[in-house]
Amino acid sequence: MVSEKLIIVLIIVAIILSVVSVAVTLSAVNTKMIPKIQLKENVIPDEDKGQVSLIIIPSENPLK
Amino acid sequence: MKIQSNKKESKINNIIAVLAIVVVAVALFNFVTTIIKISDFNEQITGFASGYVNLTINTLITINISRNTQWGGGMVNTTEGATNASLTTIQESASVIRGNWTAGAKAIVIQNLGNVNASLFITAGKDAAGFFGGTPGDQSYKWNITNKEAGSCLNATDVGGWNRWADVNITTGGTKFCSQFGYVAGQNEVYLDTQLVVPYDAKNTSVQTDTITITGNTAG
Repeated sequence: MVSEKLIIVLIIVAIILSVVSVAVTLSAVNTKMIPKIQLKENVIPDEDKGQVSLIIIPSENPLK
Repeated sequence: MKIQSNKKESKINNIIAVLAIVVVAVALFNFVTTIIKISDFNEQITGFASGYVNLTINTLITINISRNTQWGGGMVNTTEGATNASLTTIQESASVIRGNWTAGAKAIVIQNLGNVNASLFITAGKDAAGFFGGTPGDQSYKWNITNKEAGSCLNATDVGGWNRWADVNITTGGTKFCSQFGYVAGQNEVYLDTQLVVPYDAKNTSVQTDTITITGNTAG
């Protein structure tokens, strides 16, 4: 027959192991798995050219 | 009767003990697995680095001129006593006063086809004197920049030609009209209207062209 004390000890050990497992997971994920991200925006400028054009036909001097 | 009860209790205790051992085994397995997996993952993802990840995002500004302003040939109506002619684009139409040019020109259309808002700078290549070379009082070269699509130019700054006529700017870098020139379709186009007052005594005749430089840069 297994003593009640042994059963209690086993259950407590199981609980402790589970808690430690969760703690290790959270600790590792928080501190190592998600590194700090430095965002750098690299803007590439652009330019285009438009044109305004006309043909000017010489005209006489209106003041003559 | 009591002996039977003790036997039953003992049997239940044994079952609980076995279950407890199983629970401990599972917890132990879970613990070891977690450590091994995190170790592997850590190595693959971060290469054991505990520093920073530098992430560079390339934002693309693409300024596009989808239409130029092209007047045909014409002259000042000097026979009617005019000393200059005024040629004005009004977005999708145009007007000619005191001259015989055909009013078929339209405003220049500027688009932001990139993937980010941009600031908008405009520089003309010539001023009125450089364009025509005539009597100063009879010539001018102005521009007027307006939204073609509502909301295209946010935080527009009237420093010389936003929603009003102003002499063109020929200084390097030009005039900043928008700090947030949108890129979203339907909100990414502006008009660049021009008004040419051509003097009767223009020294620059035949085909005359001015090249306007439109620059998109970091918004803000």
